Amino acid sequence: MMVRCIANTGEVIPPMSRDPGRGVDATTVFPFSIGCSYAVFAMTNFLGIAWYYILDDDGNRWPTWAPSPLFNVDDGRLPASWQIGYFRFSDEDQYPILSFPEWATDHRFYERLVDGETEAVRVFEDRRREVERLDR
Amino acid sequence: MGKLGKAAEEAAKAAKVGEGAKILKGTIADAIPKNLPQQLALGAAKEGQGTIIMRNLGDAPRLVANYGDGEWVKMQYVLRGTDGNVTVHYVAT
Repeated sequence: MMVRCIANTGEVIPPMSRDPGRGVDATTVFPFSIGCSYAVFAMTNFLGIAWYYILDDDGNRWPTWAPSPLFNVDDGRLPASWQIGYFRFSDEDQYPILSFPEWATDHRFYERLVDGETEAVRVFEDRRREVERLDR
Repeated sequence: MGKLGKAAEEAAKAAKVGEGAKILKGTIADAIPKNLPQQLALGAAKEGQGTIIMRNLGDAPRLVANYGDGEWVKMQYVLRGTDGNVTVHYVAT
């Protein structure tokens, strides 16, 4: 799945999906370049809209989530391995994850990836190649 | 922008500079800035300028035990510089 950035500030996020307390408001600047294409490594829901996990322009080795209104979908194909998971913590705290199995079935995977745990990093690099192969 | 209470300030967990730097782990304590960019980045994080990147943290029970109830989340602030970025992760409610 490839998306193209059409905006990089919170101005395009629907007002009902902004939350200044979480750093998401109209003035928020997201580290993406307008016109550039990005691979999507997972998708979830937050504040009533879809969010994509993308390797942003800051150069971190883990994908960071970004509100979907910032992007157009260039190529909506998904790897065959992807599946949907649903993490239910409480009535007010539950969300789906659409991604490769290691992430979709384990809500701790992303935390381990951000923390740089070796196995999580290895899995992500393998799955990253799988996503990027679709773009060829 | 992002909300950051005193408890979360104390729980600022990690800072790194550029590629190759490792995120600090261990007990809950402020990362010690080693240079001006890190100091600026930590300062911005403490002012609540980060954005949420993660919910349902694995060490939420420890955070609740040490700092009280709340929906603990991981926040990220990136200070962008010409010689590399400084990424700060911290937790907040």
